[in-house]
Amino acid sequence: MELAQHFAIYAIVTPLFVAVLVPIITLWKKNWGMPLVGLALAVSLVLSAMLVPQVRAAGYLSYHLGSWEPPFGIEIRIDFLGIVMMVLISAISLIVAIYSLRYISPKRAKEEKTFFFFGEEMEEGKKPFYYSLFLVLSAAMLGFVATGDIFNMFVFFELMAICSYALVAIPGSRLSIRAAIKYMLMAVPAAVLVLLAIGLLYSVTGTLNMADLYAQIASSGYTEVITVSYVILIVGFAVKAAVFPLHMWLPDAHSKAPSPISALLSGLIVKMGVFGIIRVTFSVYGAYFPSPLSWVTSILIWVAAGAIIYGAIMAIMQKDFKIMIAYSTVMNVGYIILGFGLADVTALVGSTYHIIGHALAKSCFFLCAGSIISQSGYLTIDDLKGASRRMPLTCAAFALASLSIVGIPPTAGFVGKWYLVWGSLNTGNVFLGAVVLVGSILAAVYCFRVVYYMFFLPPSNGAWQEVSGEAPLSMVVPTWILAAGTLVLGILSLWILPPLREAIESLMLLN
Amino acid sequence: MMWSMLLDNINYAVAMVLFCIGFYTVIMRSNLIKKIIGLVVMQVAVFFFLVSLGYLDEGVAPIVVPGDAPSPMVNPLPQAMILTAIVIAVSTTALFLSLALKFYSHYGTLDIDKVKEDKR
Repeated sequence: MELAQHFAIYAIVTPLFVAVLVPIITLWKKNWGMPLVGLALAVSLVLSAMLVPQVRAAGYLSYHLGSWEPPFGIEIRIDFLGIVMMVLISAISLIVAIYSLRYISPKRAKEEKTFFFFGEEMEEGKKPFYYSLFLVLSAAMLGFVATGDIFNMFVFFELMAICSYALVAIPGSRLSIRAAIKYMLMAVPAAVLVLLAIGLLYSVTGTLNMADLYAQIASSGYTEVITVSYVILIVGFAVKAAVFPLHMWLPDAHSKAPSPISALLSGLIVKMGVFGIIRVTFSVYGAYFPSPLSWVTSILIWVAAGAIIYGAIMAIMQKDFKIMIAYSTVMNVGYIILGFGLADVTALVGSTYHIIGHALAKSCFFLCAGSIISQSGYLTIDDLKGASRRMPLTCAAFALASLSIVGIPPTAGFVGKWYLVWGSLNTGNVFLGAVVLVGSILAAVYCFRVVYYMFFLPPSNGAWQEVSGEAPLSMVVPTWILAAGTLVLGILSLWILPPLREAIESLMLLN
Repeated sequence: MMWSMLLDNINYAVAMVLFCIGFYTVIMRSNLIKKIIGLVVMQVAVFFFLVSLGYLDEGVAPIVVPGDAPSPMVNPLPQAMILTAIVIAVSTTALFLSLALKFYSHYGTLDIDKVKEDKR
């Protein structure tokens, strides 16, 4: 068991280490880059999966970096929610890395230059850097959910942010540069706010360790400073999570990035903002949570309800396929924040399960969009008429994932929404339960419209004639793993939900 | 009373003013380079705030010399935090400036209000 106790840190450091190696090794061996990336992410996946029983048994896992004792040194503290996120992050990163093997390959774009690629193709020279940034991004996300030190959390948050700006801009085209600048103009001030909040907290508690902060805040008298720092912290994370009034960067950045990166941005990075909100609320400000800070969550509830309706209506209005999917993310972040804002165990279980289900389904959406773009170059929803005749597997995966986004049993999306409705009725918010259900109907409008176009309408004249056929296997298989994952996790929820509920109960100190 | 309180906490007041100047620049200026300058001013304001937290009048470096009586020491932790944060800020600024360069080569302007509408 000597080695096993270091699994937590190996899971985070392996991708970071390989990220440095990849650009160097590809100088000699062109084809070694991708297997190395896959290997690093697979190691993270296996290590974090092996930690699950240990975390389940002990409640949480604490690892002291450099053997410095917690209040002074940096602590890695993984609870059940954290380990679920770690498995999710490494699994989706691995799947997306395999997908991007052919997606960013420029050979196909050159051979089949019949369609415009709108700057989505990439030069061969950028490939090692793409993979390098990709790995740093995965490592930063893993570290972000695992860490038990609030300043370390900020460092991983910034690392993740810088990689995501660079990856949005990596095609180098006009629109992607513009989208990346729009993203940075909102996200950089948000990161500064997070640092400011950490400074304020440090000024009244004198500690950075989350468990220690929890105890210090409970006994501290500086109510105003702590309240201000909480609000600043929530605003900072909410920009990254694209919570409704702060979502303006999202549709541009998510639709102009290369599709595998859109999948990561929508599936995981947005969730990191939400995870940050949940983590600081319960692990740091837990003592303040129910009473002095309840007004923040009651604002968040209405913001979330606004996000659900606004995101759905904007998604219905869009003509561009990827922008539609991006607005759907705005809507689903609304669901997750709603469950958090209700401050009810059932609702929070629903929103954490929705994090998982939405991560799978939305990544699948973007991978489908990527397959369609790289095969046909079509970008608008109208162009998708009759797509299933040439690309049946991709379209079927999209249809399966849209069942989860709409929330039809037995998919993972249904489980999350079921608990959200249950939680909002529990707390007496009938209106919010109705908003969740109306949101589902609106989601059905924008999802099933696309499915209808794909399967039941003939192609408009001349379209899809020159499309050679289905995307390569390395793109179809990852898409299908994610689509099947939504179904499997819907059924597996019987086994995942009880420990998740226990973990959230202990987070909310209701045991 | 009011003024003496302000003078005692002049470091926090200056940090607040700097932060607001930076934020105003980011929001109100349309020139990309000015926006980046505003971001840097915001970051520096927060760094200043954090470093001044650990400051102590006549404090010394936190090194205990055997035999000497312990004297008031400056808190080293905010300084270590700020060193990390400066590295992050520098890399963010470098990335942003390189994006601004790319932006200029695509659009021929740095005024982002002029390219508000740009469909593919």
